[in-house]
Amino acid sequence: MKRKFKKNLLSNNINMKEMNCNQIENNILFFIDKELSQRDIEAFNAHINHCDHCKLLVGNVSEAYLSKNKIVEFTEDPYFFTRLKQKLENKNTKTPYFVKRILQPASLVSLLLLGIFTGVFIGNQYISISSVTEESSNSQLKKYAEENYLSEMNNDNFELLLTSNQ
Amino acid sequence: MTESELVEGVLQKKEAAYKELVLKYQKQVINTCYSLLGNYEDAQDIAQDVFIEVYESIDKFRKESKLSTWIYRIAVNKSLNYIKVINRRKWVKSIESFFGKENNETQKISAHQSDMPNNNLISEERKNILQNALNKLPENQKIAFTLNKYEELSYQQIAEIMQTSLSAVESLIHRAKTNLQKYLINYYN
Ligand SMILES: [Zn+2]
Repeated sequence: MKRKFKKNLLSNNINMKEMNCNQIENNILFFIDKELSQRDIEAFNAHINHCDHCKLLVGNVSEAYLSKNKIVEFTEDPYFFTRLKQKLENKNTKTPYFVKRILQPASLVSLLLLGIFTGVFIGNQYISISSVTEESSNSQLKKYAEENYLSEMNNDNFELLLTSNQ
Repeated sequence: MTESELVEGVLQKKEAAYKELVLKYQKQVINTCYSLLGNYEDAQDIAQDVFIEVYESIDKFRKESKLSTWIYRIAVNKSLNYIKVINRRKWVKSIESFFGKENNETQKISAHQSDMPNNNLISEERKNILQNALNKLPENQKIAFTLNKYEELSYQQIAEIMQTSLSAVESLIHRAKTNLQKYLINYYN
């Protein structure tokens, strides 16, 4: 239930038959909302009837004041609930804040570190592997050389044998 | 379903109950948001956020108040938060335009308005004048006035939503009207 606010009403002024321009300005919205007493409405109208300035002002102000209506312009949106459901589902499947702001960067950093360490590790491994292969290839070379040397020696011996036979 | 059955159903995350609740309060919520925001698309978006909050925090609903009062309160809070975000954005934009960045939005709006028929343009203009005046009101006056004028809620209901006294609501609405009157007269004088 609407209650009327009395402070603004001018009913106390018993002798007032007509409002002045100032009083009109102070009471326009209360006049439009029908919150003035019968006596005030009469005093309001009495002024409006002959003051063109106030008449125009009351017309303009009331048109603006009443321009926004309740509901009227809204037709029920049949897809409101469907969209709402979609929004809720999207929200629930979204990554939560903690994961998004803390876990994701943390896992990125750890991946990066892991990458660096793996790189360093692989690098070290390569060095040791290559040194191993170097060693082994050296020993193979040695072996090969020895074999060849020996065979060469053998050849020498063979040659010697040949020459000695000459 | 009764109100407590609805609440119970939503608490148990039952879709049928939630759907019924949304259908029941959808109009009320969109209208409240629209009254406070003055833009239908924004009102629709914020109304969706309101119902998401209802779904997620129905366990916080205390049964001593009416469900509609609780939902109104969420709608008012969400709208006010949105207004704050918009104002912050406007402030950033005004700074940007001060430093010479183009304001495409105003161009878009004026282009859109020139497409409208003349009558619509006039009523749109009146609505803008009123909305600008409403936006100048202090927050509490705006809420009380809007809920009373456009939602046609009683002072008692508004007092419950705003968690204040009946006389405070009376005073807020009275001051809101006096201020609105002043803004509108200034505009036309
Ligand atoms: Zn006058």
